[in-house]
Amino acid sequence: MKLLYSSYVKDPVGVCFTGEDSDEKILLVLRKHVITNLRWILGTILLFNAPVIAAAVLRVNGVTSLDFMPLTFRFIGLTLWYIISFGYFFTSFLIWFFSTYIVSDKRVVDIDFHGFIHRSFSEALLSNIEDLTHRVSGATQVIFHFGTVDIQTAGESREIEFEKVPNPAHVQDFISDLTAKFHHHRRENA
Amino acid sequence: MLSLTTLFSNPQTLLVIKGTFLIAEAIYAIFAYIVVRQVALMTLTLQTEFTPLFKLLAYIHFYAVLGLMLLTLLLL
Repeated sequence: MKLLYSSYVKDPVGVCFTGEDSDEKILLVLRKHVITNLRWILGTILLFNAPVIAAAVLRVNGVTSLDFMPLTFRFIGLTLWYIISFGYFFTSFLIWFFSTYIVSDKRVVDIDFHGFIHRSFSEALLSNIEDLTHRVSGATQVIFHFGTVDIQTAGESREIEFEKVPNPAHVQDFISDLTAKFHHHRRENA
Repeated sequence: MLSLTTLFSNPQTLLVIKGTFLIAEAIYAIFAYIVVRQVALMTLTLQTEFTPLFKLLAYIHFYAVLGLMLLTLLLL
């Protein structure tokens, strides 16, 4: 249940991603901090209340009743409005829910849905992680304690960004410990 | 000044509004279908216990628009 609303889920249950190995274990699922959803949440509230606000505005301007428009037209118009409002809420939520950053015992994965129809899937093996940094910038990020974790990988200067995730210092430390443990096991088995 | 009552009792005005509704609903139905397909892709990329719920909501959303188009044709 926590997976539905949380931006930081440790040892999630019932989660798997495309390309996951059968012996792979997901350790952390991250998303952008919930506060980043404020815009569309307020937008949804506004959309759902728009008919009420419109009626109040019309009343102020002397239009006390909408009886000039047939009831069927008002019903269809209102229903269409609420379906569109739900569509806005649903798609906005889905973009947030499915744009995830995953840390498993083998790799880090960045799943991004830009807009609604553009998807990008980036991954880096723990063995290829070379450098980790985190950034917290701006008053909002400081107050709500979220930021960006930059994961530098070997090879072609590729970087994976975990944007606006909660507790970025802890996330960096978590991945760092995981990487160290991975290299330690590799040295032992060599 | 033309009163709203006079304007909305004109059959031609109502026909234009009906046509506008139908066009808007048709365009939105295409978007709702895209939502259905995209939810399928999203749930394939990241599978969770909420996958059936999201798929159900996407289909309900799509069929609601189709139902509304039918209602528009029948009622208006």
